[in-house]
Amino acid sequence: MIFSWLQVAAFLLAMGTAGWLLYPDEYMRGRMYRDYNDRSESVALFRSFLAKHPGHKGATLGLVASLEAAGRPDEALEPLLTFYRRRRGDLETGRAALALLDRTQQLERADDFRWELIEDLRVMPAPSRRRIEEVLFEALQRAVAAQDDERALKALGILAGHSADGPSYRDQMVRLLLTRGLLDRALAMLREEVRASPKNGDLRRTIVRIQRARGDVPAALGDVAAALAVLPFHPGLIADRADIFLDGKRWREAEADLRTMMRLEPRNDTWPLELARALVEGGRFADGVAVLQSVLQRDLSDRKRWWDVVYFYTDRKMFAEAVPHLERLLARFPADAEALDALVQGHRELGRTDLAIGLLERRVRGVPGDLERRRTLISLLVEEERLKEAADHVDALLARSPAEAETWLEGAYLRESVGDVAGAVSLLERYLERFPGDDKSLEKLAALYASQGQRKKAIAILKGYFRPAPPPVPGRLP
Amino acid sequence: MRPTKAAAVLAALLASPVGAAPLPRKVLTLYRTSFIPGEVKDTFFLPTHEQLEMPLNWLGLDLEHVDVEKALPSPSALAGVVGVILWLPSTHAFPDPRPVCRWLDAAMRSNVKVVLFGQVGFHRPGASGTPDVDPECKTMLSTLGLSYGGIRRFDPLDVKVTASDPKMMGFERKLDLNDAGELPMVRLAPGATPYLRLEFSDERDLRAEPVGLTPRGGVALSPVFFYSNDQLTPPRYAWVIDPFAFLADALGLKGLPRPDVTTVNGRRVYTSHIDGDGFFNVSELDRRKLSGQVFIEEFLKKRPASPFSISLIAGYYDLDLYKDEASLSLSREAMVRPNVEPAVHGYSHPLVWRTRAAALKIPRYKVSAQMETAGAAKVLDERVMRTGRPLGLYFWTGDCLPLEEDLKAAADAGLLAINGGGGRFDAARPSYAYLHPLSRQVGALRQLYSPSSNENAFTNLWSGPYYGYRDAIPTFERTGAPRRVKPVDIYVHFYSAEKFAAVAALRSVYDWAHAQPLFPMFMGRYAASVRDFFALRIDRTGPGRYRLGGGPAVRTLRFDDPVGEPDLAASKGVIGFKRELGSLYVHLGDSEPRELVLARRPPALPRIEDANFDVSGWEAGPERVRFLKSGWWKSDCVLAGLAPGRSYRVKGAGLDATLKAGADGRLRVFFPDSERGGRPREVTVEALR
Repeated sequence: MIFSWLQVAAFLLAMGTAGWLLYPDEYMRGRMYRDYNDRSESVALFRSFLAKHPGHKGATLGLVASLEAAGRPDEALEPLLTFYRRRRGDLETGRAALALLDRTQQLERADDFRWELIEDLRVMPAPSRRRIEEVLFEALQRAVAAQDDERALKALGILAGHSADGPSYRDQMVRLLLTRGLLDRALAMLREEVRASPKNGDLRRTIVRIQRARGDVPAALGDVAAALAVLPFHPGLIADRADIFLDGKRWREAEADLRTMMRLEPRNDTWPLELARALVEGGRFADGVAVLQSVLQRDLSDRKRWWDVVYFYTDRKMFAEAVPHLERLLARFPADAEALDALVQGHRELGRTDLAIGLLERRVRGVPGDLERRRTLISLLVEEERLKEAADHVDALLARSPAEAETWLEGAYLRESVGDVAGAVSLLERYLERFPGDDKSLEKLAALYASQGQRKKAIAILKGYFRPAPPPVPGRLP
Repeated sequence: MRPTKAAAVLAALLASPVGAAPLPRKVLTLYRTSFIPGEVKDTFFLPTHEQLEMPLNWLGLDLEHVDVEKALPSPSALAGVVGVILWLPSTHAFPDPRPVCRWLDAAMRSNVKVVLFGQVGFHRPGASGTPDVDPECKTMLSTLGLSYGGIRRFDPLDVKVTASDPKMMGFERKLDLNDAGELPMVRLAPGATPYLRLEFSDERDLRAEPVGLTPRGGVALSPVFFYSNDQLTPPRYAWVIDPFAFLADALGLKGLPRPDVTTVNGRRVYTSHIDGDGFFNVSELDRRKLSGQVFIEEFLKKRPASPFSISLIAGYYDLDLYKDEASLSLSREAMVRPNVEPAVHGYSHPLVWRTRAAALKIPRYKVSAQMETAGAAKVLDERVMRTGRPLGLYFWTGDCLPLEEDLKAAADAGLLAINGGGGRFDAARPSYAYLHPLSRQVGALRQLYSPSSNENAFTNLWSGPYYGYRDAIPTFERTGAPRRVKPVDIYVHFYSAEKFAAVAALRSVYDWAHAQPLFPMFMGRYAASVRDFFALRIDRTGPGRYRLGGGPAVRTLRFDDPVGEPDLAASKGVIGFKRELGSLYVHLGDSEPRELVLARRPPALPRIEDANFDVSGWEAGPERVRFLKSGWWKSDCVLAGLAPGRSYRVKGAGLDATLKAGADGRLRVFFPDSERGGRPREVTVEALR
């Protein structure tokens, strides 16, 4: 014998041991079968392996992949979540679970799980800031899209503390709280931030605005005073206080702050305007007007300053005062069509429609293409029963803008009103050439023909109904 | 003649069917190339196409995109135009807004409605501060019925919603001022109807009315009419306003008939079409088989009573790999079946039509419009079909954005071409805004869109999850109710038979669809109905009277407002009607004359209420009804207008039974089978004594 029985036995034992060591386990065989047929084999192998090794990440992910490939994704969620809950905070598995929930359209459950993941990540010993932020940002966007305020606020709150863009998230949070009317929560949050950043004027101004929104004027004034103690001559805070005084009709107090603002922001016309208002409302009209005039005199070429004065008067229905300013404005800026419109309106308010008409007549003589003003002129002439003149202007309007259906009809009505039936007929005929199919106008034309004794023409129109339908009135639905 | 008599004669003449006015169905939308986001400047990417055109189609309208940089239509071209829509992306949308404003003003004065979405984009170029709008544009806005005070940043503490119409606002998303940082200071003139009003506490009398109706049209302005969030994947859209109701009101469409291609004989249309990609891929279900073979076995053979429209890629058969008889034989087996309508899916399957990049690399071939259409049809017929009859149906390939020359080549070849479009409407895309319209304008031509997206949209472009197509079911459900905006179209590629999960998903979708009360048809027929939607002419011949011209493949008119009922005795080519989903669906025959007369209480006559088969040769009297039926699936129908409680003998199409009409005069009939697309069979329904 070459070998002894002992050597043979040892050899066989060694082979058996090697075989036991090298034979693939269920996990490996699951991986080998994972592209096979309906995946039932790989699913069974992975499940069997996981029963013995429940914390095995590869087997869990392998089982999930096999179930998905088999078209059984809904069975894949539980093993994945079970594994995740054994290893809370494992971002890779967490993201895999989220992705699976999204793929299987279980979006509400995905949102719930996302928050579970976030809470787990927050208590991790040394969580990666950026990784939490990504998940939080997604949670925020989903909450905003779903209009879930509580979750949006929660996400914003955490992001405000975590993210390098913290201030931006804080602003978003404040905005959301304010939009929802959660003023007390917003105030509490802002006070905390002011404690951390006492010289942040914007934060302090927001607090003042919230106090005012709550209707607590004394508190608002108190907050302004406290803010100005730290930030004296802060224009925003002084402007806010001035506004509080103006709202409360505390004109004298407002005047002081407004004069301060005029010194701090000399180029800002808002302050003299507000000062003028405060003076006038406080019974000092001449002083108020003087302030406005002084602003205007500083730069007569600034159209806006003229308009500030004009609006000052027209807002108070002081048309007698507004009109001379408008005349001077128009003299300086003759192309300002708004000024012309305002002056026309001013004259009308003062009962001087004839002057208004005169202005418009001069305008359309100088600018025959100003269709808008010509239309206004026509309206005024009609008001004043100067129908013949109105009709002449309608003719001029139509010569320039024949596409306006209503103008033709208005012209025909005017001509008929002044007894010019032939003119009315001509207009209607030409109108109907452009806009055929207008039943009412056809009826009117037939009536006019009839009134002129032109029965044959009237009948011909009616017979026209028997002819094939003409193209319709553009855009008009019957 | 005195005016009153003239009026009376005129009124009588107006009631006559001789005089008629066509219902305008066209809407124009003005755009500039700069409005189109991204690098590819195709109107496909405009929000007017992606979001607005589907509701307009649903309202029976045809949207035409007009590039203002080329030319604005002349006033005479506005005949037949209901309205003009603008969806402007910014406050400075035009280098010089004045010509556009003048044109819009003239259009309104010619009784064309104007509707503004998005921004009030008529700010003077280069101007900062608000408002700075030229006088012509102020005039136009005034004509529209509003005044505009520019854009205002607002503090959430200072603004309150003081009026909001619950029927119009909050359609898919509640109005949320937190979404907005700025508001357009638009104020509607007296006589207008604001749907939303916001007031500012820091300025008395200051208000904004950014959504509302005016006598000349309407406005629905950013940021309060539509929500868009591109921080999510997919981007999230939601309508804050009800786009269907808003457009109907703003364009003055109340009470008008709407051609509807989603429905035939009161049943929602069903189609299934397959693109030829992956026909020769090996299937993991059985690695000895190709996906095409698996598809034939799992679906075509197992559902012989259901129609499929199948396409193949012709270029395969010019490649050595697929020239063998086995490949040809398998291809023929798919295409030449009684329940299959064959179609062409290109020659080299262009993936990007614009760049001519193709999926198949065929030696010595460069993509050409002619070869991809007529040439491909010829190759398929000669090599696969061998019938000598040219194929008539074509499915666009790849990105489905063919150029005008491609569309022309298909039309010249006599091919009815369809594909592209679709959309999803499900948990991840919970809005009508993700649904594409019926078609896409390409120059002077029109590309017809398929109703649905294929499995690529559900499987990350076929990279997984391969079971994703099962999620087509929520889209089918949501596009069917509460408003039916799409038919059901099961649309996949042959490579869906490559994967186990995909086959399981597809099977579940077919099972779902085949359990619904649908009207099955080939895709070619649906494509013809979409083509005819645009060709159809509707003349109003009197109050409640309409005459249809052309467009015979459109088989349904829909009314969404109370209009009475069809008077079947006075109408022609109307075989029935059904009230469903708050609308009246009127079923039309396919040959002229087709004239609909509505009445408040017309006499009851037997009619089809709904049927999942075609009805022709309809003859109906109080005692007897006769018609020819042809269709797919197991046939069933509901007849209405019968004598309540009366017994009827129903004979034909494999049925001979005595059935009793219900107390409501309805009779439900189930046939044992169908014609499976074959010759029509006669059915009679006779009242028994």
